Amino acid sequence: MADVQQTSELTRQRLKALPMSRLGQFLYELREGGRKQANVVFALIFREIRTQSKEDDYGYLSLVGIVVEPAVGVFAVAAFWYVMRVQEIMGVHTLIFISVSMTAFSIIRRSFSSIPRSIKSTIKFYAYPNIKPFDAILANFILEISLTIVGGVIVFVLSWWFVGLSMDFQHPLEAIGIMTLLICSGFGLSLLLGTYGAIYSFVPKIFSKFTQVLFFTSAVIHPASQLPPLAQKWLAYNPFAHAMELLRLYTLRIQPFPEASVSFLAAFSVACLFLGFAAYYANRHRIVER
Amino acid sequence: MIRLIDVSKYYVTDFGRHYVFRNVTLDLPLDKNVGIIGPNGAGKSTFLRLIGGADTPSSGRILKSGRISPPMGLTPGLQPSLTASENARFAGRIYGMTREEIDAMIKYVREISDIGRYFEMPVSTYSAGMKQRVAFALNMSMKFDYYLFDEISAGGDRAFRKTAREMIAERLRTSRFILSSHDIDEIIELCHAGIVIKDGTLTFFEDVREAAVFYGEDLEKGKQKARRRKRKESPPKKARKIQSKEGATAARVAKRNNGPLKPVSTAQITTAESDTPVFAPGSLTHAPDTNLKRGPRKAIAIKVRRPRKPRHVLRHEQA
Repeated sequence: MADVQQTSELTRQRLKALPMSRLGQFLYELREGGRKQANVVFALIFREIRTQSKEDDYGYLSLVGIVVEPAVGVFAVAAFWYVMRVQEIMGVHTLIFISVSMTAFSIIRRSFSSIPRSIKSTIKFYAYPNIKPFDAILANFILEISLTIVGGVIVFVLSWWFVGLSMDFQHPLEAIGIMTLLICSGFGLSLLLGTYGAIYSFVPKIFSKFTQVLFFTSAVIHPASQLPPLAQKWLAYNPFAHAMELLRLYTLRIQPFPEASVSFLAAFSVACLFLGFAAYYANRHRIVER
Repeated sequence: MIRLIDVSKYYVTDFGRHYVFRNVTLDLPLDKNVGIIGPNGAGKSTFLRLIGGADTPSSGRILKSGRISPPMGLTPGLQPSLTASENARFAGRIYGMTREEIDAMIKYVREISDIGRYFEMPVSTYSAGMKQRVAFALNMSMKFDYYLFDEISAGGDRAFRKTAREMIAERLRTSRFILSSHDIDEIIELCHAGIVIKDGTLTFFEDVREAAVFYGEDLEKGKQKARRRKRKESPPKKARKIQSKEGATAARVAKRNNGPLKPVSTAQITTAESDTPVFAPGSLTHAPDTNLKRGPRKAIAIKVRRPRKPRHVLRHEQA
């Protein structure tokens, strides 16, 4: 495989000047490389903010839209349950129940829809040797997921401030662990879909529609344990349903359906990351050539 | 130093792998400007992209030391929705500049690009020449050991070209560059060494003049071949036919009038053969004997002269 090495003359001179062991040199170069990539990702995040505000008809409101989207979704679904005269789901207020799952689902939705398009939107910048398609995905992922999580926090704050609802975190570390697994699987999927989306234009279109199916099959608006056994059996194949159920277990102490498993979710996340990186590595030349 | 070790580059097409280079091993000297010469589609831009790191070889390795600029050419890496100022800020951030350095850089780019109020307008509103000015100024605002230029003089007006030449000359004191161009004179003027790319092979010459002679001979051979082929394929002189047809038309008119040739219209039309097509494909071309025809025909220069009035008419008017 091709191996392109680029080492700054200045770095070499510095390295020569310093008495360093091989490990020291390796760590120094690793740190320098990391610093360069951090600069690139930082620059791409700022560019994304400016570009989204300019290319979208609503300007900076488009970014506000990403923040507000989970809140709007939560209030819409909660209103639906209120109309159906459902004020509590398994002993938890509907608003809180929906808030937890909708915030988590927004990460999945973003991974399937908008983030994979970032490779195409930054295609002009691949003339800069520092910028790789991977950086574009990473920058967009960091930006959108951060905004989504901020949106989720806003929902919880609003619920607590206006309605007086609060969550009793019994297992915060486990909840953070589940969110991390969800974010990892989301990043793997973004990388996978972004890579093939840059080569085949129909891929992002299909998968952005697929999120609508996932919304109703991932136990976002209803607990899986209340579904019939046959539905639960089918739902057990959906890793996102596991994530929703486990997240609610660790934040709201709602008992999940019997098949819910952390190891299944972890295996899925690892598989997504592996497939994402493998697809990117195998097609990295093709993406840049386009 | 830039070292290519057994580098191959191919693109996957519907008809299989299309090789641009095959197993190229080459050392580019640190102390020389290198000019790249070759026909269209030979792989000059691909070569620059590989060296610049914008593209990766399909196999083999490229070892580089020193800071190398991104390949700058007809397609500058500018985001269309952002202004030139924002693009400059983005480039500065990529290279890890501080805020003060970025501000100084933007000022420099504004000065060199000299595009006035357009500097704060989106790049999508720029002409191709303006884009190239900004890209050039952006590249020049950063210090590199090697600058990569792809057809630097292909765009931009005379004033910009002059500025570009001056800046390159100034930068040559501290840096070197690799230049790809169709302008052999420009390459001879600015470069020391040369590379000729043709049919997937790279030939390196220590002296750029040797490269130019090598390429020139090759070019001349190709031209001769093309001329011979054209002579075989092209039909014999159309304009002469047209003239004779026109003559026939005039003779028919004379016969009908039962007398010597008289002016048939108020304008006299003369035709002359020209080698260079002056009409764009699809535009209307003039064919004197027939109706108007479409398509890239052999050009006919139409000269419209005001006919002289017959002497008896002039005498009558004078009286």
